[in-house]
Amino acid sequence: MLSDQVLQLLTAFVDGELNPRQREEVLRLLNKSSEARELVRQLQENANKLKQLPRRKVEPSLVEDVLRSIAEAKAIPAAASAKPKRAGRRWMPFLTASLAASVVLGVLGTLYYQSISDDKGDVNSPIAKGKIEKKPEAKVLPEKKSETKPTLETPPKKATPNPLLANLIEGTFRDFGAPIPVDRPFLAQFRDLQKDGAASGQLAYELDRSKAVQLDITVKNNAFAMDRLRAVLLERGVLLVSDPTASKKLRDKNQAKVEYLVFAENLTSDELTKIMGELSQTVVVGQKNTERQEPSPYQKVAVSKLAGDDRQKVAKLLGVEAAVLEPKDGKLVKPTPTPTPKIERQAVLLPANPSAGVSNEVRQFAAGRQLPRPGTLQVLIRIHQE
Amino acid sequence: MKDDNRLITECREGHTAAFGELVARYQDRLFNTVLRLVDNAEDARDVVQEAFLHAYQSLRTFKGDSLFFTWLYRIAFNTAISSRRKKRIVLSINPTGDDGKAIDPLDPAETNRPGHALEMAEEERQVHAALAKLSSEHRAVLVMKDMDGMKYEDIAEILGVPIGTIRSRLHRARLEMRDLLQKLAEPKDQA
Repeated sequence: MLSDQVLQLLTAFVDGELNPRQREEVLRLLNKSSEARELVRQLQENANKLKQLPRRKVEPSLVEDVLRSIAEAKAIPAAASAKPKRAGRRWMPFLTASLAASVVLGVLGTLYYQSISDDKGDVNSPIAKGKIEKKPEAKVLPEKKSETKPTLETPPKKATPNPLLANLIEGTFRDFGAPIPVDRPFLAQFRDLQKDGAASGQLAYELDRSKAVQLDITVKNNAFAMDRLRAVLLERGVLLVSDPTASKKLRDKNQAKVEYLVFAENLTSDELTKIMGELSQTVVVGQKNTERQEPSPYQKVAVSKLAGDDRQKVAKLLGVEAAVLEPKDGKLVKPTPTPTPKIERQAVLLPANPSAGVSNEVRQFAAGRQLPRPGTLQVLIRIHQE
Repeated sequence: MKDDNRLITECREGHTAAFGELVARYQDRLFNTVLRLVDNAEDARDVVQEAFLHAYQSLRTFKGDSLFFTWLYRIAFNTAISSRRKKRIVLSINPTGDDGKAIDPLDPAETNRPGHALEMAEEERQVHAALAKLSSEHRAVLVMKDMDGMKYEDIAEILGVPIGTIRSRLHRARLEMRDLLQKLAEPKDQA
């Protein structure tokens, strides 16, 4: 019968976790004891059975799901708020939030009740006493004199809480359970968008989330980047109309740090994702003899929902009312005009800080805008040189 | 191919796609381990997904003292344990380890020998059944040691216990596993 200490040595031998001296000791034992040999054989056989269990591939791959979870939760490294869709104790955050909210509501409720009680005139309260004493018209009726509690001549005043407190409580109730708006932009490097990988999928997903988006793009060279954008848009049947001031600034080397806006409509998220992918590609420039490859000037992009004040700014630059640019729930208000064979759509290049009024080119663009088509995006691209 | 540390640096710089590469690199290995801990493909998938998300969120705390996979494994292990506690999963003695779907070996050539598939299925059924009867502690150390080939030291780090504890835990787990497999094999031998 092998002792427990020997058994431990034998299992450690099977695990390959013995030092040379222990190993020698076990080998000597195995030479002498058939029982030890049989045990080691069994343990090794069982370990092999575990080792040989079939391995499976995760299908479909988790890459997209994980990246989507990160995007959905707007997770950033070191943040601790995100959870995947189907995992973990999903009720736990809600329970914690509910408990915290209950405590807050309880405290606020108590304060609220106190403030009402105070206004109702708790005669024992020093605050209430002060209020009653200050009112000259508040007289005790003669016939009620004998009563223990004095009755006031004035009609009972409706209880009004402290307005600050009331607002706070009302807001708390109104917003209770409402999602906390955490709207961090989605960030990507253009080099990650070069192929249809996870970054492209995530970009498409982000673009699909709203009807109007803003792309903040950092480039190495504004003029080169704009040329590329113009060419890529044209390949997709989108003509980039340019404000003359913006065009002039683009060619001015002293204006390198100027920000430019490109406003476009009726682009699908898929198209926009592909456009971003194409912008990330290396470009062949120059003539036949001087032809060379240039790396893409596009560096990184941040995607966010187009904010109301940004839409107002674009409207002002286009010389139209902001309401005109409001996306229309993807429904056609009137039939889409028949597109021209090649160039169906237009985009416009605008200076972010115009020095003059709205140019004729921009006015023409605004007047010729097509109505939004279902399932398309309104896009404001901000381009700035790093 | 970029090494883990390079990808981690890129993740910290905000390149989410780099994390995608880490997921692609380790998802199968992690999934197979977790599958033996939770014994259900769907739960295993959820656990692995959640583990990756936790890892991404905690990436700044990864100091590189251990291998990225060891660190990731610890997160996955804790996630799996909390998942099991939450669900109180009753382990099914299911040879496929899934909802009736066969587990395909990575190398299909293994299945070419006549009768091999049946033998493997039976053996796998028994191993599963035995594993299912082990406590979480014993099952975890066996899976880490035999399936993932980890050293005592790594297992101790992941589980946060001394190496001596791992040694004795593995010892008991192996003996228990041997007894369970013997019992499971008995009816067949007698027949």
